Amino acid sequence: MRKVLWLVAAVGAMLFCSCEVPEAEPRLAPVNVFPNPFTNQVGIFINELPAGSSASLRFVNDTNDELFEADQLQSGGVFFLDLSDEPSGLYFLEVEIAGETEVITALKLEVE
Amino acid sequence: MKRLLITAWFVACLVTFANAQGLSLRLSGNQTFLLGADYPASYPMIGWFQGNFEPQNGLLIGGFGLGLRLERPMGNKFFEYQIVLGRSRTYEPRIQYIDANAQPIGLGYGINSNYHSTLIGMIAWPLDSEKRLRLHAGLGLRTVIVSESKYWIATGLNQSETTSGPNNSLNTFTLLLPLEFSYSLGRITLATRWELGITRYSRISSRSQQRGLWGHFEIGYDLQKPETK
Repeated sequence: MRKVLWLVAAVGAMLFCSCEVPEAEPRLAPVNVFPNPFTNQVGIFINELPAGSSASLRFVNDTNDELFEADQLQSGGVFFLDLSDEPSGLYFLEVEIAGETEVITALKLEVE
Repeated sequence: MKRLLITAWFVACLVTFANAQGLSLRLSGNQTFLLGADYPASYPMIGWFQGNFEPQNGLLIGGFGLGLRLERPMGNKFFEYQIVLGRSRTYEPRIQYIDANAQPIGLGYGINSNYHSTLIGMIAWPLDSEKRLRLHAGLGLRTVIVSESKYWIATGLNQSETTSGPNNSLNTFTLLLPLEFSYSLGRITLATRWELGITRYSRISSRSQQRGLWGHFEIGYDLQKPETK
């Protein structure tokens, strides 16, 4: 019986230790997509990059097929992609700024 | 060579299947942890969930599974083979919803529900003389059958609706290293099993460092007990 209690305690401790709590507020990304969710066309805007840095972008679908790629981008740039032929679902914008990579998830909805 | 070893392992499992002496039914709950993820994919799946933009104090039922385990005594040890059909869940990173004028309009969570099958071959070492407490280790293969993402979308102030669709971003096959502790009480077995994915979890290149870790909490019922020495 004591062994069972030890087993239950060990499982409980593992569960407790493994719980992650999300951040209270996400920071605004310097690069983002709009509108999000989108239907046919999606825009990518480069809001404000750290001084002296540029951004590299890679826009992929949920099977990692590359739909758009660009680098050496400066603040203030806006791109529009026509994704009307692509299926609805998840899309990912991989942004690399000064060696740091961030992934922004975009959602394409079906046209009603 | 690696493929040959893996194939040999699963052939050995199939031989066990054919010569199995013990059979048990396994019911489990599970939780997925994404190692190497830079977002909280494993926010506790138990708690109230408002079905809105934030997991609050609500109930989001996580993963569960039903399995069948076959075992065969092998000297002092046991060779086991288990198949599980189950569902596991993770959170996708928050989406920042943005309108057509590039103005942020809210945040939303996505939930992935992954329906999978897992095949595991393990060797069990008894840790006590009565062979009740056992340590199990081996190799497994997890196959994602269907994966679906559900998102809450902002439609106005404090208003939302949901949308769902297939999620193809998960790797179909993941090789697993399972480690299990179990304790048997008559026909009932209580077990906790941790399966570490040693191959990629996601197809997305920016998530190539992610590895899955699945924690299972299992109760088994012996339908047929193997003869032990």
